[in-house]
Amino acid sequence: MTNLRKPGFVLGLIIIALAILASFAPSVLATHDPFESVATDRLLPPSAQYLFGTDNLGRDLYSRVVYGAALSLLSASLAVVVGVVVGAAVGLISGFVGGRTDFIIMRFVDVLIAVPGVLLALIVVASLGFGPVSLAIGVGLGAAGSFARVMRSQVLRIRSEEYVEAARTLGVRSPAILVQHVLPNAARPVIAMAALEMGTAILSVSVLTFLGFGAPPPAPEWGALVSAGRDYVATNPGLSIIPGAVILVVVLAVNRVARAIGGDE
Amino acid sequence: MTQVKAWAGYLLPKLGQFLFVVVATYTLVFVLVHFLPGDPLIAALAAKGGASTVIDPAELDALRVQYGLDGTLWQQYFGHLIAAAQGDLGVSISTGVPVTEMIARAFPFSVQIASLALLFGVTSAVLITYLAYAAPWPWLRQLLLQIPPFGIAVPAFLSGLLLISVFAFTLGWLPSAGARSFDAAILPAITLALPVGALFFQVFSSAVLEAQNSPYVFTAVAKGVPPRRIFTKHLLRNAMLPSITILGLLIGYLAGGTAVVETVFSRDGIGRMTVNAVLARDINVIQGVVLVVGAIYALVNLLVDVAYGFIDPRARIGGGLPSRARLGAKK
Amino acid sequence: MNSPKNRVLRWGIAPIGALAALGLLASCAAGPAASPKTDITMAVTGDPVCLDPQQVTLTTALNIGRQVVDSLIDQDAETGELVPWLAESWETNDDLTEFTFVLRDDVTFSDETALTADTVVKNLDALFEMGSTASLASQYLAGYEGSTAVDEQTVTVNFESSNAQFLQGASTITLGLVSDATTELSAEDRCQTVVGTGPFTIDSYVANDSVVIAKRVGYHWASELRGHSGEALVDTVTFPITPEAGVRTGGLQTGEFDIIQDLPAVDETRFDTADYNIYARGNPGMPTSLVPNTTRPVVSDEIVRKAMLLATDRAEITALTGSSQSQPASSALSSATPGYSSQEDAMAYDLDAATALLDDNGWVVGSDGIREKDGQRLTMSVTAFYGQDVLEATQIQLAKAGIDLQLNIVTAGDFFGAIATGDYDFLSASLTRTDPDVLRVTFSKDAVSKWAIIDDAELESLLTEQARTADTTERTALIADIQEMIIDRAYLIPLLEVAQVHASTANVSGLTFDSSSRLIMYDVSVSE
Repeated sequence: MTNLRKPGFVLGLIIIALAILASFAPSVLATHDPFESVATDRLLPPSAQYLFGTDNLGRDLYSRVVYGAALSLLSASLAVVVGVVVGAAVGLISGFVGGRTDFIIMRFVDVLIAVPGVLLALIVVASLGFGPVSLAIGVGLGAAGSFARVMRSQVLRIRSEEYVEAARTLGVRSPAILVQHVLPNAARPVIAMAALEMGTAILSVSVLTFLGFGAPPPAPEWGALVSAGRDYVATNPGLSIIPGAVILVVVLAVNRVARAIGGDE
Repeated sequence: MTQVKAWAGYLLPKLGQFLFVVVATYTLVFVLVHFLPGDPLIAALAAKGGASTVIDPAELDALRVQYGLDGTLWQQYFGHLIAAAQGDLGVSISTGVPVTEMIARAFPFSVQIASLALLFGVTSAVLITYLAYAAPWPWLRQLLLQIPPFGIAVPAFLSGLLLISVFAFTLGWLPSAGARSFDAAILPAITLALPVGALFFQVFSSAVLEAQNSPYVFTAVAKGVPPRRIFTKHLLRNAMLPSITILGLLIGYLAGGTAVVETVFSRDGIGRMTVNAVLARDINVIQGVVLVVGAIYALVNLLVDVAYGFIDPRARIGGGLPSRARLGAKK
Repeated sequence: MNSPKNRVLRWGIAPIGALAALGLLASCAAGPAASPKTDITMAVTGDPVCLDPQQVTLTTALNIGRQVVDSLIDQDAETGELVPWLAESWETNDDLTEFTFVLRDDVTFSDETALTADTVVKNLDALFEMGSTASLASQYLAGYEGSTAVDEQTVTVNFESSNAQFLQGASTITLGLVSDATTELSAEDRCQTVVGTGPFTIDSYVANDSVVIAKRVGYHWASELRGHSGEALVDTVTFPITPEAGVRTGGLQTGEFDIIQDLPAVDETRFDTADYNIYARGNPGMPTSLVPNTTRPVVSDEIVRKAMLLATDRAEITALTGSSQSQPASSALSSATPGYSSQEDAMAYDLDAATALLDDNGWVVGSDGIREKDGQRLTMSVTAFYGQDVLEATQIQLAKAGIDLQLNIVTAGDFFGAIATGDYDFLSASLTRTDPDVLRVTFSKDAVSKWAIIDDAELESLLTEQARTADTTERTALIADIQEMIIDRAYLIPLLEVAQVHASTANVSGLTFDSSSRLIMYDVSVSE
């Protein structure tokens, strides 16, 4: 656990903890009602009363960011789950079955990776209707390709291991081999990758909500907050930059911790 | 004769792969796009007609034929594919302009910032790698190595807006938007260069690290050759080769990045065109753009494979590049 | 000498130096111009989509269209008086079914064809043929029977019943005249470019990028309301399409744009200095409002609509989202419209009255703060394609009364598509017209482009009657009754009066509004 001595890692853990707290119990961290508008307090700079300042309708930006954590982070988490489940399933089957099927499946995976993730997610979200779940599916599908590749190469590696050969000779049936031997051993690199993918997912979700593909207003998704603040960049740049910086800080923290977890083992 | 056979054996499957990727991309998008809700034709009619658009079924049917949206799904699928092979991508439902024309107009703007971004990104990555390599102080090396992870984590809209705020509004050095002058491409290119440079840095610096441990470098260091010469003569060249394998990946990243950057900087380009097309459910434009981008991605990969085949004869026999499978995992 | 430190420093300084040099170069390129400008830029908020002034309803398209077509009559933006333009004189019969215009004989289109009485006939016939595709025009031409060219310069227009707004309509951009050849093109082709008699011609249109118009050489038939006669004072005007307000204001500051459309309210104080000009004018017509579809559940309940009317604090909405020129809405018409009569008393903000109204009618507040009645939640949606901040402010206010308003912000195409299919609870938008007939256009069942879906025979008869009433006093009385009825039955929930606020650098002079608050660039010049 040498990681605990590294300041970067500890800081990352603290930030992630705060983000999780904001997602599940926002009222603990927030100072105001994120949907309440105070007409006389429009576009104020950060102060003791309004930690991040106020937006054009007099709403507290800090509280909106806190309440937005759930929307952004849960979508991203769900996206990673979708990516892992779909990708791993595809990679597992493809690697195990091998031969022609494997070849064809992997070519489709190539295609999934060829289409830029943002564009793919845009189309998926537009088809399914704007909202956190569609975001998760769109972003998740885009990531599934990479997971499929990793899972498949792990499967190929393990398949040739001796204990798998042994199990085969003993007459253990394929699905059992898959579950009992291949899956646990292949899981670790996939999970390490999932942790790394989390940061990317948060970024992708915020990009999509920034482009307007998220939940309708007044939902304070982080990307949507940045987008709403764009009209005020000349006078109140904080309205866009602060939520953007929050995204950056959380992604850095997640990446830092993920690298430590992945690299450690 | 065996040379030709060896080449054919290497190239033909690659060509086949290229074609497959292009067709499969088209199929994937075709399927997705036909799930889009609502009728794009009504929205397109309505945008022009304004408040009193009257939906005349005969008129709608005629429009459907004009935009290639008539017939069964199979007919549309093959019809569009065959037309695309001949260079006809259909007509945009929302603007009435042929899709090829729209893409041709928007493409140069995206290429402008993408190529600049590639230039900025690669040069900075090489520079930072060199500085980290030659840094006399460990703390400097650590600091430099923090930059790329930062580059990947920073959202493009944040860096773009920061650059606009500082360089356009506060200092007034560069334009904040548009594509009307060359210097309007600089801030967008820098914004795009951050993640691209970071990605390239990952591959390049690990390749440099690998090359660093080779025996001839060891000898050179022992001989007292200055670090700069070692870097430029040995490390740079050898590390570049594996790095170009992610060119396709970078292009994919750039294509996706243009969507945000062009929106933030109000530039015309394929990214913003695609976003608008998705919002307007302009099927023909969406399919056209994805087809073009997918084809370019596959073409770049094909060319890289060919180039590698030239440079490294071992690859020809092995039938592929050793590092790409590993590298392909990160996107 | 060649120590690592030195090398690092040298390697480090070089790129920094390069960047600095780039910056200097760029700032040189963006330096101030030394001579009076003949090519100016005006940043606009959106793509005009269609360039045919006779078909369009979008403000950007109309602003551009005004520069390339002229109308038969011109209207004084201050007094409302009608003065000659392409028509030297005109007369009407007593019951407003016959209008005769005598045209100038020296007007030519930019394709060198002459303006004749026949051209006017072709214009009106083609326009009437287009029907709903040219929505605004079809309102002005309601009851059109046909027109005849009496001689080369005289044309008579006939209607089957009194048309009280045609004369004013003849001064609008929508009835601006296009060439004979243009009238023969299809509606779609006309959208790409039109040929008019205006002081400018369309030079180029690149979708999503810009429109460029160029001076019409030989122009000399401006109306007496303009500041000069003869050709326009600039050679070209470029309209870069910049939807983001921050980009427009930034461009104005750096000098990239000479004029910008739609200066956001929050930036007004920043540009209210000697270095800039601000141009503001309230729009006549219907203010930004929630327009109901009364066939929908919940919306059909008059009690709910009345509660919404009382629960919206229009003063607060204006303070939060309006410009310094905006006023809270106080009727179904905006205060700048002829025939406006204030309904302030009937729609004064009263949250207590609104909650009492809902309480007394069985709407009980649920656990999430939103009311319910017989298992039906008090939730409705509003479809709009602009004005998100106005709607968000309204949403917050209505929530205090226990009313849930869902926002459905879509593209312009989807907005008008929703109107065409009737798929909405409420619409939110404003409709700019200089004539109170805008109410008939919005509310009448027979109106091809109606926005409100209501079924009220009494209102319907009033609406049709005012359009046929020739006597102005009578008509004004009818319009007052209509406004009272609309507010009383809550067929409209007005929010905010729209004002056009544009800005330019102080070097720009001569930019004026027409009577519909659209821009006239004919007199614009930019000094050094």
